[in-house]
Amino acid sequence: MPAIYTTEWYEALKTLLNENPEVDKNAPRGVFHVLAKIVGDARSRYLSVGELRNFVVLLADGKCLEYRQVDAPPPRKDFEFIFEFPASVFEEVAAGQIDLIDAGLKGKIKITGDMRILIRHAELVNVLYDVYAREVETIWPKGKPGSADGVLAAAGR
Amino acid sequence: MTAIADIPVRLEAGATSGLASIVQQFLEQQLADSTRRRARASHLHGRLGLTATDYDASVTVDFRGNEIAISDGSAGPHDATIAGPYQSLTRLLQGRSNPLIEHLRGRLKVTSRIGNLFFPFRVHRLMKLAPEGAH
Repeated sequence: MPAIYTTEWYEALKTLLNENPEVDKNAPRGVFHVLAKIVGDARSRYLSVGELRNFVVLLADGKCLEYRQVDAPPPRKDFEFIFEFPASVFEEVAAGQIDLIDAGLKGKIKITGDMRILIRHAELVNVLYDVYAREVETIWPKGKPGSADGVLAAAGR
Repeated sequence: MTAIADIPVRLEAGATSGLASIVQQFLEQQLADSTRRRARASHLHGRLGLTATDYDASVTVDFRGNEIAISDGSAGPHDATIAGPYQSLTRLLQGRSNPLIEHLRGRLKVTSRIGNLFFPFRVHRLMKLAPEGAH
């Protein structure tokens, strides 16, 4: 089982996504460049306040062909979609503690891009959430979000 | 067809929800792509309340003819309201259903003011996605 924010964790996620027939069935056709920005906040036990991780993801016909962490992201115009997460929200979704759609509707996740594609393929969100929150087995070295051991770990981060 | 002026779609001050942002971007993109949609929007006047009941998320979309303004919440008065589960609202925007059928099947609650009875249908015609591959 890989730990959150490790290369192994992202690789496990990528493999599960690429092997899932529901992802393949519901994903839009074509090539999409996606930027995920995860910003550390006071509630995260893993990323300090203001710490930023940028991930560039290349999707083609329902498959994740590439993802890489970059120090400075390319210009926003290079991406069809941009997702901006506070780290604590990213972690709570990964832990299956908050609903991805709820986080999106309430503005906890900022989404920029072609909303027509997102709405046409809305069912994909549920599939992705299942993979992301339930199928990837995640180790939480500093404690799972919301747990008491995590609070102590965060205090001593 | 005669050129139709751009119709700005903007968020009202204080509209910070994801639903407001999604609807704003969606409408802006739908209008940017289609002269016909811009023409329809220029004739629409009224306030629509849109609520995803299962996520307790609401926005009000104010069609003013020369602009569209989106605010958080469902404070009236409205010319029409559409409320129901997120999935049913999505089906509506995908063009897989319409407000009357969803209302009759009990999946959405659709209301409209007597003086603007067809407003929800006109908004739906403006907002719904074209069939895939159509322009």
